[in-house]
Amino acid sequence: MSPSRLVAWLVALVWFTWAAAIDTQLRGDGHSSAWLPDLGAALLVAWSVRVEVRHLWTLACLAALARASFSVEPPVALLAGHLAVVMGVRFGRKSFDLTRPFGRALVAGAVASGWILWAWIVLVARHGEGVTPTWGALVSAAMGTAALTLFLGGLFTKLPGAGELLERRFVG
Amino acid sequence: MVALGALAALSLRPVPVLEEAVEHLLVPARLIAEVAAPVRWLSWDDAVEAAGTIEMEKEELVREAQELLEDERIAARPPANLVGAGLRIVHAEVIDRPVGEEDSLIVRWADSTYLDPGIPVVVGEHYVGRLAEVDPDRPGRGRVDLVTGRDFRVGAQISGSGAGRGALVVGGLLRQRSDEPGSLFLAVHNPGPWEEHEDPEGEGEWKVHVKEWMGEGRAEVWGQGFLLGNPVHETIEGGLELRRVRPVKDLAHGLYRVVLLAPLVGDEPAEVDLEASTYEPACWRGAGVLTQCTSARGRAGLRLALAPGDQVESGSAVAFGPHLLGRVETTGFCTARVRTLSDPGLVLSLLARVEGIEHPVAIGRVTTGGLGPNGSLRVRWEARVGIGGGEGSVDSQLFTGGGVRGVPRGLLVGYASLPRTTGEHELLIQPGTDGKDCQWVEIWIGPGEEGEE
Repeated sequence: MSPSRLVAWLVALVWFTWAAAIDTQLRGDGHSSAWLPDLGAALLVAWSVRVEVRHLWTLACLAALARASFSVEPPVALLAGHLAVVMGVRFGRKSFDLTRPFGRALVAGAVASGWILWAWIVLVARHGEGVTPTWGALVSAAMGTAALTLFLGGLFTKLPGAGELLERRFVG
Repeated sequence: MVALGALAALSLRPVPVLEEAVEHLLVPARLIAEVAAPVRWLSWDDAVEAAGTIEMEKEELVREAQELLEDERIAARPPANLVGAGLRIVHAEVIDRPVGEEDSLIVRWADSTYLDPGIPVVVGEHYVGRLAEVDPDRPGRGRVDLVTGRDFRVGAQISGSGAGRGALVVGGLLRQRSDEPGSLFLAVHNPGPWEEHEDPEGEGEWKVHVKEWMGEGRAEVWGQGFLLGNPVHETIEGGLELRRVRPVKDLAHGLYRVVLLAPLVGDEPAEVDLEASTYEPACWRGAGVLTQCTSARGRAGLRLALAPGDQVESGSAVAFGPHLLGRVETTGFCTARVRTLSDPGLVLSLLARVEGIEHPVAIGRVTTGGLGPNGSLRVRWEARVGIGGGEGSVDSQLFTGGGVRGVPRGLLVGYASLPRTTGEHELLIQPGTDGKDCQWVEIWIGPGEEGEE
């Protein structure tokens, strides 16, 4: 791995860390709006639809590591969730152009609500208890995150360090 | 795909060793969390203010908690008329109820007191079981078998019965009746006639007391006269007669402090006390809060920074002053993941100071269900015995009870209105603090070797 690629991964880790930190801070009082977008999910999707396919797994691991640093959820569940996302994106990219704004927004929305469901399943499986997500909460989370990805997804791919990881056709 | 399947399986069915290994591999998580320190600095003023508020109210809350624990001690002390001559009272606290051994208690008494297995275990006037095992490696620890155990048997008699009448053998749990939620009954074996008896005490309820027939001098007899519960006799479907005993204590989850009745040896004191170590500074270890962990997914917790080499057990209580904040979920090399009270599925046992009731009330185990309105905590509670009889609700101050490993008795949880009736209830607890601004907490490591277990 070239030094510039290594630095790019470290920078990516910092971006994911900041996204997770901001997500946590915004929800600190426990009564935040269900429409509040999931910044980490938006960033992951925005990058995973454009990053070179061989880098998808590394991207998922870094995003999961950053998320695990700010989460009470078990790291294995976070890693499983992130790997499932990039695996879905990988398959999706074969059939659809997910780099288009609406495509990536749709994926980000599905990821945001999918993670709520996954977290609930894990909690119930491990502790036999959990707040059952309502349709309203799932839709709100999906819409909020989709909107963020729709409008800012392009900007995320222009963050410092991202260029080194993206497919050549998206650089420049 | 295989790796993803394995990870998904581990997410749903955790393997503790692997969980711990993964947590140790997450050493970079500590550094990563430090990268986001500027986000934490934004709320520094709030943290200082929160710490100041806690410090101001700490003295009064600690005093209230200590009074509560003293009242609990007094309530657990058996009446003098039931303690036979030549016996001494040894106070003990319930420190664990292992999963899968619901009919046992792990108890701790004064290290310097030697006890033999087989002695009766009581709470106030109530008989709860026998000391089954003394830990040979750790002085002052042992296992108590409860009267609810499948193989447990104790001789008993209905109060006021004449010779040869009202004799029973009680022990084991009768299958719970679905039409009586929250209730728990003791099984009755070879019962004699009891429906013919008059109510001997004029109290409207018959009572079943321990009455062993094994002869003088045996440990089984030292529990003579202690209360097992009220006899219940009814005819059920098919004309079958069902006889059982309804205990007055919540034997499933409501035992936090017990008394062991042991023979008096030499010039040893007639009462061996055990001080609660909840507020001893040596039982706590400080830790910094790296991040709050509130997610869109309804989870809430903290990630703590531990000093390398800090030995912290999973399940240990995490406190902010005298307030319980949560319990450690897993520990890594230099971090710990904590589930806070607003995280769904957290199990706690509670002890309540109930308005109008002299002694503390053991609430039993509750399970958290996330945040409720106005910063309250939703809690599911299966009440097995009512509070003081009657209907309606009563205001209470809730503290941690015993029997949950790593959580000391007497930490403030919050305030709630408690229904008096048995059955399953959803409570809204107003927490003593939301803890969202705390940046320094304390983790329970326990007295002596408890942390080494």
